[in-house]
Amino acid sequence: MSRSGPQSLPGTSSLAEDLDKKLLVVLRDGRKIVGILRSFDQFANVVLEAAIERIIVGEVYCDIPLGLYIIRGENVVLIGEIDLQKEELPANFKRVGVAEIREAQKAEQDASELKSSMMKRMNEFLDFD
Amino acid sequence: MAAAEEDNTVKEPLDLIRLSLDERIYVKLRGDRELRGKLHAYDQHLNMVLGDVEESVTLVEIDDETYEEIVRVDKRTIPFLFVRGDGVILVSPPLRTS
Amino acid sequence: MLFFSYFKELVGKEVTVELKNDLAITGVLHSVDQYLNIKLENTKVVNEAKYPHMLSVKNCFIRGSVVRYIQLPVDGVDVDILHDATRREARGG
Repeated sequence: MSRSGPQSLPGTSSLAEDLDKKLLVVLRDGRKIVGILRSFDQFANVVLEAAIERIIVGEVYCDIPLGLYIIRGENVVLIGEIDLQKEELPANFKRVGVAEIREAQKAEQDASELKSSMMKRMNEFLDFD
Repeated sequence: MAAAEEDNTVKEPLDLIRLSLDERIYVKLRGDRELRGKLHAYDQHLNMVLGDVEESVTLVEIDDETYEEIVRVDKRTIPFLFVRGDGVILVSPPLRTS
Repeated sequence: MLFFSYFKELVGKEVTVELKNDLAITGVLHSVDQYLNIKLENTKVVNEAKYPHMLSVKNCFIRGSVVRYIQLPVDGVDVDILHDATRREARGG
């Protein structure tokens, strides 16, 4: 099915053009997966080969190898073709190791949790008053 | 069915929306968003095309120092807008205001 | 099928697609299908600094279900034609 023309497959506005290309898949939870598109269907379920998850925190990033991935269509936000002539990230971004990126992720998450818990306490305090 | 007869009958909720075609309507959306605009098209999913749209987004921001809640309403205008039906909470027919 | 037909008329025009996750992308409408999945070409993210991972993306497929709005060209389709098509759709559906 995958080699036939875009009109032959109902739905999935011509992902056929993107087969065997390096793509960025953005998921509904914000995760970013990069890999080579090997197959898809009318639900936008996709098969990615040599997939990696790209984690970006501030100006540091890390690519974590995932292997062969099948992504369920309903979790897909967008599928972008990566222009191989262009830099994938700004030049000042620094690549770090897995441990470092996990730490940065945790710090970012803790900061947002602190803010929401302070807000909650403040609201309780004001309600009590 | 004659066109004149069919135009004025209201048998189901969407018939009310049909009567609002080319009129300014109010649309409440998920995510504390509201739209006011002229209804140019809709379908059974409540997908719509609106013209001369004013969008209002209500945001609650937290002051970094006092942790006080600050309610802000952001407004913008969009000349011609398609709205996906799955975000629609309610549609209210022709506005008396505006 | 009203909006599917409508968007097919707009192929080649510039639109701005705003997603439910607040990402907004401007690009030339390349194709659309009956789920209102869309493909944009020559894309530009509206708030680029916030989305560095989109830097090298120039063509993209957007799943219809994640779309909040699509800002349309004003000269796209005659509104009278749109009204008539909507009435026909209301009758049929």
